[in-house]
Amino acid sequence: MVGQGKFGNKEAISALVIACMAKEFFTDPNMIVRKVGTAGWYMVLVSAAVAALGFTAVYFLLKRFPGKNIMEIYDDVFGRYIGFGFSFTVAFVLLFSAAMNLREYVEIIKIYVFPKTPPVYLIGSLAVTAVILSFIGLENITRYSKLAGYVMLVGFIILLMLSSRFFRFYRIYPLLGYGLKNTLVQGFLRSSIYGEITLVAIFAKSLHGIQDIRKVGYTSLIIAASLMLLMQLGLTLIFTYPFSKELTAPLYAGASLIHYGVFFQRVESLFLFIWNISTLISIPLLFYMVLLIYSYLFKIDDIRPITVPFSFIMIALSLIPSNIVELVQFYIRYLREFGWVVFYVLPSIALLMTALTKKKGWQA
Amino acid sequence: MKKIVAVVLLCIILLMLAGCYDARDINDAAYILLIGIDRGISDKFRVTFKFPAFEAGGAQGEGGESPGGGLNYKTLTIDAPSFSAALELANTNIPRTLDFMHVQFIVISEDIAKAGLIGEFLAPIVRNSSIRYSTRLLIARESAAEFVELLEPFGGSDITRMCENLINQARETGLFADLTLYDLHDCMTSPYHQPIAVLAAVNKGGNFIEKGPKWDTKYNIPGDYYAGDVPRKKGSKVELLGLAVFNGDRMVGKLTGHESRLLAMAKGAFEKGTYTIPDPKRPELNVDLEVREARRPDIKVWFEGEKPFVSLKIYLEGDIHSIQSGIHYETPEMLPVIERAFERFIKRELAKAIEKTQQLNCDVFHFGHTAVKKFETIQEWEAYDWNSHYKDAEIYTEVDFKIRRTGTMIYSSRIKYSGEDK
Repeated sequence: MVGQGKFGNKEAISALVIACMAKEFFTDPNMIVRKVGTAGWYMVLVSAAVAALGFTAVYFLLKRFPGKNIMEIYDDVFGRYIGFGFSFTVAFVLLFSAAMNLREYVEIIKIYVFPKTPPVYLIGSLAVTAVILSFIGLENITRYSKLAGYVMLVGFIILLMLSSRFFRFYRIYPLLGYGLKNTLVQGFLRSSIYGEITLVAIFAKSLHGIQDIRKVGYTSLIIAASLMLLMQLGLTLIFTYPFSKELTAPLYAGASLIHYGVFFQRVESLFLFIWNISTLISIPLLFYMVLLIYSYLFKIDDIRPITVPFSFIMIALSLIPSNIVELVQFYIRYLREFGWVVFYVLPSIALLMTALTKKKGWQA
Repeated sequence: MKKIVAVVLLCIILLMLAGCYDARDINDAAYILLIGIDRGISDKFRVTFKFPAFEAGGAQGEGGESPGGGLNYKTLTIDAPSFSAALELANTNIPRTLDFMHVQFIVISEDIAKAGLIGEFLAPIVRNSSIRYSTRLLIARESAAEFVELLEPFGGSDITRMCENLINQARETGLFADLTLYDLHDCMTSPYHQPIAVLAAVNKGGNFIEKGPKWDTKYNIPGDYYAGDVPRKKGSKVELLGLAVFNGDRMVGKLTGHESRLLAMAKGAFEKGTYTIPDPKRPELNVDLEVREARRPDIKVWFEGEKPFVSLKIYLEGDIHSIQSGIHYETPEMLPVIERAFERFIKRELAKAIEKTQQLNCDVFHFGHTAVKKFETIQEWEAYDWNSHYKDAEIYTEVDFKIRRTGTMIYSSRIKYSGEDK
């Protein structure tokens, strides 16, 4: 089967946190404000709590089947056909997610940075990156994530500190946004913003045992939730909720406000760096996960022959939305609001089945 | 073979990274520094652009000395139905692509602001990613085109530095504010308060009277002018002073420089300013004080039924700059005399300024920022509609002022006259 290489916890945590955060740099903060108003900053914590429950199900499932990844577990629990269906669904959602994130990135970068560059050129550049990174393997992707992760974290904190000049605390009021019940419901629905944490179940064999999986999963979730909280809170303090609802990429708009006299301004290029690198890690990571699942399902030993064809599928999928409104208000919205079914519900069903049938990995 | 492929790939990537599609050569762009917007005659809007000439021979202007430290500037005025249309039409006669990355001021005429056309005009500007939200926005008293035309570097700087330094005076004096496109757009849609913008004007020297009866002992509040009204001669042709008050996107009133300072004090945005008040013991003479914010103001809002009540307490401190009367105020007993006089002065003026904004029904004092804390959800807050209720608010003010230092003199000696001149 495909060898993914082994890597440490820090590498895995960096890759997962970046994968979670990358999509939040685009239109997601805008959607969050539209749904919950001023309560977005703690809605992400509600989502994190739901994601923690979801990951706990994944963890217990992996614990019952030591040394196996989620695709093997689905096969063991449900049999070949249903297991195939579950794994294929995960692969499809991940591929679709990668394609939509790719398109979203291209749309935003066309608006703000490269207005004249054809979208296909930008999409193609990212797809080529995904292919190259797939060739060099998961171990290298995660090691690069760790390297870039520290720099990006520092950049992110610098940006927040610089934009703190525009923070006004009245903007978090009314505290309950569009109502507590609404915030809880939306927090639950949008728990898939942390869905990438469950990717650890796909590359479980690359880590050194179940304790590492637990550590990687929860640590990634805590870090991602903290960063998400900081980001959402920062945006809430910079833009009033009616203004936030209008902005295509609130984080970029926030960064472009930074202005400390004539010599210190236009620092959004720092944000652009974070934006690009995180996208260049998250999309190839999702893409690689798709290749892993597909190669497992069809017993392909080497992912390299399927890498280029899958990149074309990803490009084709990314071209489905006819415009940014359709992309954001239909495709991305439903991916975010129903992604939790794939990320948390499928493993929970599997866990429930193993509990009912008292099936365990070492008994299989 | 692998190495050759890698090298070829690297070369291709290098070419791709050159950014051929969005590459912008500096020689192909006209970097707009100022944009002026008036009501048009041949079309809906009259848009004026000002940009550096970049003439042949480097930065040297024609005919030697130029006010911009060597740089010459050109203007272009065009009538068009919208900003985007003006931009397109401008590009048909300037052999450079207009670039807005370095715009310093967007100047909108008062005429447009009063007609409520700002929202309409700003719509394409706020969507344009090349115009930054940090661009300053001004309301020109008369013609924005004239303002743009006459805004020239003063004292050897270039326009960019001139604009930046001019805006910095907001912090030094408090007579206007540093407000950007972001501020105006944010406030126009805000349920917390109403927008303000900086007033700008060309000062033609009309209020500077060369000959006439000399000034007696009357008292004028410093800075109690609108832009363009300062009695002065020479200096820069333009000035920023006071604020325009908006209801939504319609300008409904103005605040003088003096009122703008009071507004800044109430909002906790006042850094420092010099005040001249009548001497409490000899009102025909003045006392100069440099005033600063001691700490952020205390604002409390409560409701009785639908009616809002506001309590505002301002904390100020300052130094004595001059005592024209020579009265020895520098004693623990006498300092409070000046302190109380200044408190009374600010309290009286603040009440007038608040009443003015209540008559306009525009909460530019940002009391809504405190009022919102009484509401749990956005639905409740929007249903109450603070901006509509502001005019009904009962507002109580209190001022606390402490003198900290007395300048380079700690004792005032009486001026000695010979007997007959006493």
